[in-house]
Amino acid sequence: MPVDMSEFRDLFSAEAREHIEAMNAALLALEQQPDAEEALSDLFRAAHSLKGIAATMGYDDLARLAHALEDRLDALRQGEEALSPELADRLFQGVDALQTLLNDILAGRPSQVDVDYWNRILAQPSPLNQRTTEIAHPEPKPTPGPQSTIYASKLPETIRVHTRHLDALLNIVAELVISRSHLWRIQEIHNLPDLQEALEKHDRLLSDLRDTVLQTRMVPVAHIFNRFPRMVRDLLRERGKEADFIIEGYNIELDRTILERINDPLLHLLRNAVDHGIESPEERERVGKPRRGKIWLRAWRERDSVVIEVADDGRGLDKDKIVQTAIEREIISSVEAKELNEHQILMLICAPGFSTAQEVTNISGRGVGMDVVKREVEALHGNLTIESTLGEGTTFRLRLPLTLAIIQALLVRVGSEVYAIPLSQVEHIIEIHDDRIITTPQWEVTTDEEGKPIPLISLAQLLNGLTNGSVTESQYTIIVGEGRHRVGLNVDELLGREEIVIRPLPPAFGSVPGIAGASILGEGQVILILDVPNLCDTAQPR
Amino acid sequence: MEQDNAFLDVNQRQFVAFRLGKTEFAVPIEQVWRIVSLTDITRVPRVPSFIEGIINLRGEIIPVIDLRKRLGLEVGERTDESRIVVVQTEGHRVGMIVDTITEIVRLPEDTIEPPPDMIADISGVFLTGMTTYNDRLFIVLDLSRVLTMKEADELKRAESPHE
Repeated sequence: MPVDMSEFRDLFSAEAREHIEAMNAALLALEQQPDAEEALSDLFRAAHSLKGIAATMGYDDLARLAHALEDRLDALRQGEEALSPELADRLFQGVDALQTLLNDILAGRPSQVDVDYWNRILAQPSPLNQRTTEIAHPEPKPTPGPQSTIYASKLPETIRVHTRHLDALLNIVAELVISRSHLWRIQEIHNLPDLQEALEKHDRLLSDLRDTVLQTRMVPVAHIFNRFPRMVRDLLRERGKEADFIIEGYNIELDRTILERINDPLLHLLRNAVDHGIESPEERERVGKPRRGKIWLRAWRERDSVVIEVADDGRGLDKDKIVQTAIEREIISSVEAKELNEHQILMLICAPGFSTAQEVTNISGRGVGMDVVKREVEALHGNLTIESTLGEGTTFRLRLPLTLAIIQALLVRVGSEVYAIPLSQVEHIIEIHDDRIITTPQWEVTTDEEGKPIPLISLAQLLNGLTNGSVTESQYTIIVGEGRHRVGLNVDELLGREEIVIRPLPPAFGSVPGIAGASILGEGQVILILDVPNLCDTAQPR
Repeated sequence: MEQDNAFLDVNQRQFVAFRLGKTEFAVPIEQVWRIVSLTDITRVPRVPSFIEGIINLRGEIIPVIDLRKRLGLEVGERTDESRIVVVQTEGHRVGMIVDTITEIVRLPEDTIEPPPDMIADISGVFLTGMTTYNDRLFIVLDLSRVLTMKEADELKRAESPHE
């Protein structure tokens, strides 16, 4: 072929996915409001466009399937029939078949999707009594909530840029930040007024440049939020539960890497809300709640972070039961249990080993437990909190940084090496007084200002994979971790707090447990950034 | 003079030659990105011991390996002559610590022969071949092998059965 088709394929893939996403969104809107004309014509248009580009690329099966959908939608559009729940299901399945076929085509494998079968299914007339049953049991129409306004939002004017270019751009900015400190060092030596002025201007431009480059990496959360309504709807149906799914804050932006990585945690939280949060309609009626529950997915900006919340008005978490389970599974001792506050009790559900295989359902059972959710959020330098009232519902709140590229870190020295600890992982720093140290056979233990014991670990040992007690004579200790993993890290010197640019370790390393990446300081020195929770998890007492 | 004539020979390739102990090695010049003197190397914990750490080279973070350890040779001393040869294959850049750079040589490609079985059995996974030129023996390294750390992980695991 004279033209390079691979480039067209990428474009095709992106466009086809957008059309399918649009079809899902429009179908959902239509299901809520069967007379929404705009949604119907968008649905029709998406099917039509998909057919067009599929035919151009020579994907005849895909074009035929899109055509079958388009035909059926046209009948709807002409007012020849109304959208029944049964037909909506069929259309959803048709869109799924499109998606599967598209995935197979893009993966270059033969597809199992039988287009002829789908053509027949989609052409089948709706059962005749459909309308009468509709009238016999008029379902209360959900009030058009935020969904309808969300639906109306169109894609912004954009161009596609490969993320490789964005990463390269950010690297150059990081270089400039480093070379800036170099220039300032020269100025400190020579102290030239002209240079001073030029440097100050340079500084302002550089921080503008940095902000702009970071901004280009930001994408609206809608990119992943749009995937969820369909999943929640299907799951609710499957479980025989009823709930409205309310999404707020579609336009809030996050760094695309962060967004990508919170997809699975959010999916898990939403599944949990359906599986464990929302009660069956009967149970809800029995306790005097409306049959239909509510599940919220909200995002908003708070200073330098983005908060994403998954909430439900379901049965809530039973704190006594959590404590009991945690003791049974030896996550805490019954003595420790007495000391926990409400928040600490709720966080126990994120402890490794808390949830068991029996609770895993076919959809929730993807191996992502609450511990993984918490770990992932922390790896992104964010944090997770849980609020819950028994009988009223549960809220999971993820607080995430706007960007992964630049973080606030505490620089420490261990031997001759300097390490950075993300400030988000540091609880606080306390001064060690000799008279407050108790030496046990395994540990040296000090106490915090509330009198709670804190085992001391030397960071040097921890880096070697050990959790031996510390013997370094440090003046301060850095308190990290929670609950049982709350420890004091002893280092040789605290060097202070600094804004650092995170760079991944060279690919040859793969992932090193406990190391989040590397950074280059102003003097050109390379330092490692620690991932303290993982560092502690992978260490063994010896 | 001989060198000048050699320039015209299409069969010849340029290599960077360096020494580890008494043995002379060669890597194709097009795979060498930079040669730098030893700078401060930041240690990375919990990685195989032959990995020395990482360095900053013109704003890029590059892993550095101790080639002696990687090839299973005895540990040598670092001197003023020690260099880091930064090589690149398949987009990856890795620095290798060598004892000294000897020269840039042109070696006739067709004289490079596969390593004898006996040597190949010992550490042969890294060797592309050997050649003698002007009475000197060069071992040509297979960089793609030297630079895979995955394999090294496996080696390490095999060494410590308790893990």
